[in-house]
Amino acid sequence: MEEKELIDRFKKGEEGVFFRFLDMYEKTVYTISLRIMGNSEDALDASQETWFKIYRNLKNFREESTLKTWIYRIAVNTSLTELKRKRRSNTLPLDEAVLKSLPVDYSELEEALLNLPEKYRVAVTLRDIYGYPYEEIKTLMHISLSSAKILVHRGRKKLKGKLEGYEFEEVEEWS
Amino acid sequence: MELDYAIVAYLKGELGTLACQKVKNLINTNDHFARKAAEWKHALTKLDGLKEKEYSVPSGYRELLMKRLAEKKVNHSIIGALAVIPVLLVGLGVFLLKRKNAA
Repeated sequence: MEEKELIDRFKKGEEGVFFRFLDMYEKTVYTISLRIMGNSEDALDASQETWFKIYRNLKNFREESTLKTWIYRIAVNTSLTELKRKRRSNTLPLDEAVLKSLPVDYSELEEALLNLPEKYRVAVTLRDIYGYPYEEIKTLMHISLSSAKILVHRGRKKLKGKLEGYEFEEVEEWS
Repeated sequence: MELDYAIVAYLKGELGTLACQKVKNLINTNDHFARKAAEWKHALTKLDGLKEKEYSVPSGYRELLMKRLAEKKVNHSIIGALAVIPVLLVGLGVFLLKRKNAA
């Protein structure tokens, strides 16, 4: 069944269709939240909050973008809000559940990414994994354009360094 | 411009024409630049591959979501019901005022 038809059915009050959206995007939403939040406990809360927002706002979805893009955006925004709300002095260590489910061939990289300090993890995730332009990263992270570029670059270097076994110095800006 | 930054910007297509040509020439003529570019290309390709990797949700995820969703719906219904009270009070006030004036 086409996505548009599912959206129309949901808009007409057929709430059971919501499960179809969960089938389609549950993993995507959880993965975005995990990469932004950096641990499964916070990712669970952020991704569930994302689904509340999707449920509440789907009836007003104007289809100006694809549903996938719209859901991505809600997941990113919600996770960033949750990240600020739950900001911790130290990033939680990666839990067993995540370590066990790291993707084959990418486990080292994903672990290094999830262990980056949050400002770098968020910047690199948005730019290099989800392809957000710097302008949008600037807006989402409430930083200047040059800071967005610096965070992405330093994040990449830190990531490459972690994979090669060396570390780089920190930068300060991240509101 | 820092060497790594220039190389990554070149590989990501983020440089202007002139800068892009300069970095390209350096990579083509200098072994150190060429090695750095190869390292970065590998790292960026790998990072790009993460786009396709997704995690399964923890067990009990949907049950918890449905429970929380039901709670939120109840809360919204209560808030909705409470919001009606001031309207009813105003309506009652107007009704009583009209009755008093009529008497």
